[in-house]
Amino acid sequence: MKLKLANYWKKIAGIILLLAITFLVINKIYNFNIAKSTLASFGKISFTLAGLLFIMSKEKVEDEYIMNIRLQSFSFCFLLGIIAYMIDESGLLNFLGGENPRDMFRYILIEMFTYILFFYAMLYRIIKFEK
Amino acid sequence: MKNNLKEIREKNNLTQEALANLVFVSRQTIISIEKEYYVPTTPLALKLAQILKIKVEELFILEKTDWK
Repeated sequence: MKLKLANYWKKIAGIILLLAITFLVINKIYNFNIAKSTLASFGKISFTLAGLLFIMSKEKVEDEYIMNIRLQSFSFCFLLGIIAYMIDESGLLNFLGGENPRDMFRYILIEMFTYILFFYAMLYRIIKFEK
Repeated sequence: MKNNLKEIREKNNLTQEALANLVFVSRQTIISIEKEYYVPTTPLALKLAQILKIKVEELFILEKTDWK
């Protein structure tokens, strides 16, 4: 992936994530009749944007090994997305919420979380074993 | 593929962090090469050999399984 942002974008992504969580929590607590869908959508978009910026920003030292595990993480989350779709068809993922049975936001959540978890697990398992 | 990176690095009194800085990679990369989780690309292998002042063949050793 050639298109990568500087490391400080991770901090910006963190701020956007906090805003997204705030929007989603406010939407859950106060049941706004008119603004509900707008606020929820804004929360979801901010959440997705935060995840996207986090994923696209570089590590402090971005080298070939990092690129390698980045690729592995992308492959893994892509496959998991397909599996999630198949499981979703059976209705097992309904606990994740969403108005529509096959809400795209669920897949984005699953793929982003899988990517981030897989990537950092691969990156830090080595340091853990080293100590 | 086997490698003698750890032994040669220690012989040169270099820490993982110091070697990583010399070849412009992260410490995780050096650890993963030493643990044989990751086989570096040719440029990185050459850089490591040059920094440690040895031949690449002395640093990385092909195994029978690499031919399959």
